[in-house]
Amino acid sequence: MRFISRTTAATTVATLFAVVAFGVAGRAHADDFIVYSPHVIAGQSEIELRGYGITDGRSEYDGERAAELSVAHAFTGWWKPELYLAEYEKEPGAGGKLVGYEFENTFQFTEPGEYWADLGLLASYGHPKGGGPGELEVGPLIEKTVGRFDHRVNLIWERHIGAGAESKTEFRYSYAGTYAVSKAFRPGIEAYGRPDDHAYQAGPVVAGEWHVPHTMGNVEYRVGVLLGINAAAPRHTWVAQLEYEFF
Amino acid sequence: MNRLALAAVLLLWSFAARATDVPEFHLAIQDHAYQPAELKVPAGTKVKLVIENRDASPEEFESTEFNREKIVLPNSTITVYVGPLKPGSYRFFGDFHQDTAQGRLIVE
Repeated sequence: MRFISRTTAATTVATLFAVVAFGVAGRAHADDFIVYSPHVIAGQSEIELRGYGITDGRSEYDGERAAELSVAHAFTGWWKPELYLAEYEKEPGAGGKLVGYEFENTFQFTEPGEYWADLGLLASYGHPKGGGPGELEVGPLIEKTVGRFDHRVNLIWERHIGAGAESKTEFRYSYAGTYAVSKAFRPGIEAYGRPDDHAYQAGPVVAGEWHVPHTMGNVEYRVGVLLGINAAAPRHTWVAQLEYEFF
Repeated sequence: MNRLALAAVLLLWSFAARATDVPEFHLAIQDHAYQPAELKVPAGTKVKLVIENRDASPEEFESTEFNREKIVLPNSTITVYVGPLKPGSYRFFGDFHQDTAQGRLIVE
């Protein structure tokens, strides 16, 4: 039962996060607008920049922006730690600032294609810059590929810890479905739900990657716009991601 | 709550329910080329590809047409699960040597 042995190894570390995580949040963060894959490619390193910006006729939303810069390296075929070196946020009507750092872990539990769907786990800790409660996130990552179609589902629970933390757990979910026309062009849709904020969004995205000639690296991109489905969600959230993956 | 527990059990069961007796097929990478360049596999069933890299540099086994991407370190072997696929011809390649590392799965 390779499934069990791989799961056991990965969950040893992940459980440390999971046992503590259950209760708060507030505004969206840059990592709220990504649908993670459970796949870990052993030996691969990454440098990634991603973020979002909101355009909305309402002053409480318009002008909100966030971005994150991170580095990652997959030490094994089942564990990829990622360090967010800088997290920037700008709230509507206020100036932008660096808000913290984050240590994120992706655990791959099953070999891609071996079971009906591929399963992994996300576990992260976000540390605020300048004090305040930290943030734990944990939840399963699910992926199913059928030919050129790829479907991902994330279920993430989020809880604040430390001084001043609220004793409440927030939940969010996300879905991404893409169709690989080519390696460089994968159009699709993404959908996000944050029930605690009563915010539901969905919209078109395009992703893809190019091999960098004479290297063992790829440049990967993703852009899209999420439309607010209900009144409590921002009307237009523009998302973008640029990543360099290499060995 | 009971419904939630039942859904969780069904979800876990579906992940654990893998096909038994998955047929196995072998590919090699040598001089930055796949051997054989065309590999015949059965339609409508999951298959296991065992890929051996005999070169001194890594290669990335990749296919857009059946959505797989996996690194093969020098002088090492990986397994990749593919399918079930409909009959047809599916391209795969080596991401680091796309000029020479080209192949096709012939599904029939």
